Amino acid sequence: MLSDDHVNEIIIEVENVSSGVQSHPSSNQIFQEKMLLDSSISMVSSISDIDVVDSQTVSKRNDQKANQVLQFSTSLNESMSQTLHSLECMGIDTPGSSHETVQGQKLIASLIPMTSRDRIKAIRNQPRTMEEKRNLRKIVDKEKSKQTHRILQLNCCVQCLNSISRAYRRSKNSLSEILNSISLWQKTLKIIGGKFGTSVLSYFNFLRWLLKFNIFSFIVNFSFIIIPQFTVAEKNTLQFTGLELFTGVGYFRDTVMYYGFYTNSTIQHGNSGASYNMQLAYIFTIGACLTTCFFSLLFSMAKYFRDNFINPHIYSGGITKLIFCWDFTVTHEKAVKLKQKNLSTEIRENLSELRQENAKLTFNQQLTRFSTYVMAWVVSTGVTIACCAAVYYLAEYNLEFLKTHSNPGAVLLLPFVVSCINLAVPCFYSMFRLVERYEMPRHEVYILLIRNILLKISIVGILCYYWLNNVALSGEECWETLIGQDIYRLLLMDFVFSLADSFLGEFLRRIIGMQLITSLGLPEFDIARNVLELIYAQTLVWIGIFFCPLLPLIQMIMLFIMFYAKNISLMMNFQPPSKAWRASQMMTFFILLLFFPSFTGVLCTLAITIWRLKPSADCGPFRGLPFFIHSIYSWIDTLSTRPGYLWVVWIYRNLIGSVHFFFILTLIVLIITYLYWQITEGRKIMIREGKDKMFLIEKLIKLQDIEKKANPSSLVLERREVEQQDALHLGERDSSLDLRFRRSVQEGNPRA
Amino acid sequence: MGQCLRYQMHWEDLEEYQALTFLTRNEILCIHDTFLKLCPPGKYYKEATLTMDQVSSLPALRVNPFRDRICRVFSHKGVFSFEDVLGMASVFSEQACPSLKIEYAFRIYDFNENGFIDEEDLQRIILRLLNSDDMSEDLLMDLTNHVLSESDLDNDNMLSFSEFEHAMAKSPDFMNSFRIHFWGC
Repeated sequence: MLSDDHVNEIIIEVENVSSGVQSHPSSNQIFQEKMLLDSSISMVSSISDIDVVDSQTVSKRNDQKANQVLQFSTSLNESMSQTLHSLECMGIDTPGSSHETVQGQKLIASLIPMTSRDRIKAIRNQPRTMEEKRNLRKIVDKEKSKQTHRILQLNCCVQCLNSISRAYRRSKNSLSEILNSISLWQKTLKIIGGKFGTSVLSYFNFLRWLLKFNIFSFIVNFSFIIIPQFTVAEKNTLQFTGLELFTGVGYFRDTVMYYGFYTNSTIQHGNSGASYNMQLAYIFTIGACLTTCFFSLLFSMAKYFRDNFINPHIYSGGITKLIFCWDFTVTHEKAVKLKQKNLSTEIRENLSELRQENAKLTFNQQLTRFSTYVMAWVVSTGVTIACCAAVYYLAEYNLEFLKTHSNPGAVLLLPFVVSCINLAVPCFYSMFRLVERYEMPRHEVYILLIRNILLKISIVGILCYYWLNNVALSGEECWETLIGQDIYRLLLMDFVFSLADSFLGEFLRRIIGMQLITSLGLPEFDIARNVLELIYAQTLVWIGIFFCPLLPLIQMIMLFIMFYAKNISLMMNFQPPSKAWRASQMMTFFILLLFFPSFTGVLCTLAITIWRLKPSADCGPFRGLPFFIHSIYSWIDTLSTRPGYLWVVWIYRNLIGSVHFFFILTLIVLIITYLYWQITEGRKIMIREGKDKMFLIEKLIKLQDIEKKANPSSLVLERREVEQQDALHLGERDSSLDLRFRRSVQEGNPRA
Repeated sequence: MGQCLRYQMHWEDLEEYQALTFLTRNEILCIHDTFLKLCPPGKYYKEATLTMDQVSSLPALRVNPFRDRICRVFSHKGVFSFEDVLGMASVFSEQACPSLKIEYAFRIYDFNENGFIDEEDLQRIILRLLNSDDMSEDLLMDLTNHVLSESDLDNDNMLSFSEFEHAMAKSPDFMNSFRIHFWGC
């Protein structure tokens, strides 16, 4: 079933045939038929493409409308200016006496009913010169103003709305321009992109994106809990030594840095009566931070999925992509030369891959290969479990040790061991490459990535278990502060290791590559490993935000320094990547990773803390309560005594606290998901139909060809007549489409 | 380098360029500055033109393997007016819509300008991309055949615009790679 929009497009495409034929008067029969077939294919594929494009770019709905008027013709420029000139001379109401006028008329006719915003977008999307676009805009505006004179004057309400929307649009434009101009590190990122390409750039963009989360969290924390706490701060009587910057204990214990310092009282200043309940403020602020992060992650993930998800059934063009997707952003001469060399290698590899795909392995070889895979997985999982166990027992032992001895530096042992594991085990995993053989080198990268992810998740998981199970129940005086200190130390040690790796490790690697073993050459920037490090650090920050509200600030500073460190190291020690790295797909995967195990794990940990654990008795905002969540319960209880706030109590009791509500909500979400899934499946069917149509059209043309050869004196309609008849059939349905098509097929016959 | 008469851009012109292209205010002004530095002395910027060599030697295009094709596609009668430069920067900007990029990419890759990317065009593209002298004829033919087998849907040994569009519209990496930052500020 074709809608009016589609019919419009088909008409334009069919007309394209005649214009194409006209512009190549000397071409022979085969060429004309090719143009015909081309238009038919473009028509059919554009129908299917609209849906595919639509499913991928739902937000670019305006572009879809604009796509309808997009045409490709080498003679279009001339015909367009001719059209416009003729239109200006003759006036638009003159019935089309030449083909180009009709074409331009249709374009203008489709532009007029659009809103002004859509019109500007549609004109901008036209592949024409500035002069033509300007003329087009003038003509459309003139025509539109003529039309509005005939319609009754819009009442002032609508005019008001129009001017408001215009002002809103202008302010939005200027706001985005201002934001762009103060955007951090624009110039540096351009230089990196110019020298190393878009793939390495994606790491730095990811870093900048994470920085935004931390800036937001810090601002919220600072305004709502840190500043109020400053106003009732007690004096800090502890000594400050330099070691505390690393261990986080000692002087820092009684500062706003940790949970234990916060008061549980209701802060009241003067007799004005305005009170500030620290308990509620604490829990609501942390909740607001995490909720905003959740929605921001969700929307980013959805946007990336929508833009970058490629259905593997539709498209599998490896070499085509390599040929046509040359990275135009690279502007360094050496980088371009290097890229060309790497592209050459990669193309050769791809070709040999394609040839090898047909080679089948013997049963023995398959068995050997399968057993090596299993062995490798067993070994890597074993190593992961061993590391987790080691970390757990070390942590327990450390706790015991610290109870009896008081060596201030001993607390650094656990973070040191964890960072060493994070550094050494991935190197060990990458050595598996020597034993395991994969058909495609891409699979190697993915498997390595999965193993590293599992390692990091396990380590964070075991540490969370240790904190919630051992530290919280150990009967220590202020266990939340202890956890906060642990997380601070872990973060700091990880940061120190990263810096050391950037400055020393990569420098050494460069010396080895250039001086000692020159065959290795400069190393390549390992994007996956670095992004995983960022995700690991961010997970720790999110867990720690409850126990150490100043952690976002610390992470902000660390990310800032890390950016410059990685930038300097990149410029000095690395060469551009040799393989085409599917930046957009990998980024989608990393953001998914950030959301799914990382953020949801954090939410689970915090949920367990708040609902199941007993706060410490004499420190922090929740001291004395049986559970953290009781602060909310008691608040609801106090609210229920006040008549003005009963609606809050009602929402709490019936929506948040009720099982039925969540059940119904889940059901609705599932229904919507199912409907969307069915719609996507339906679109896939339409694409397949499009391909069937193409096949039928091919057959039709071949038949016509045979007919023509048999009967050379067939009727050839005058083209003008055909066009006028076409114009009259505007807006009709499928049946007339075939008729029109047959006519244009006949018209495409050679006049030889 | 001579300098044009230093006319400030009128506010209405700036608004119009912003409406008709995908460039931001800053970008348009930067390109205006660059243009003024390069064009011959004594001319108003709207009438001055740059030669293809001058545009080819811009830092953004200087090492691009396809710079001559880019200049050919975006220039008119062999020269670049200010609006031609703006049009070029607009197509290559980040905010440009995918259909526009695909349209112009097709024109750039169509070396012999017959409306199709045929085998000859593909071979020239590959030679430009790889820039190596030890490219055997067999490898070239092999590559060309692979590309055509992947993307040529109607088996005519050429890529029409729709086939090219079909191949590229599904590739988000194409949108990210088909970008050039023209402004040096």
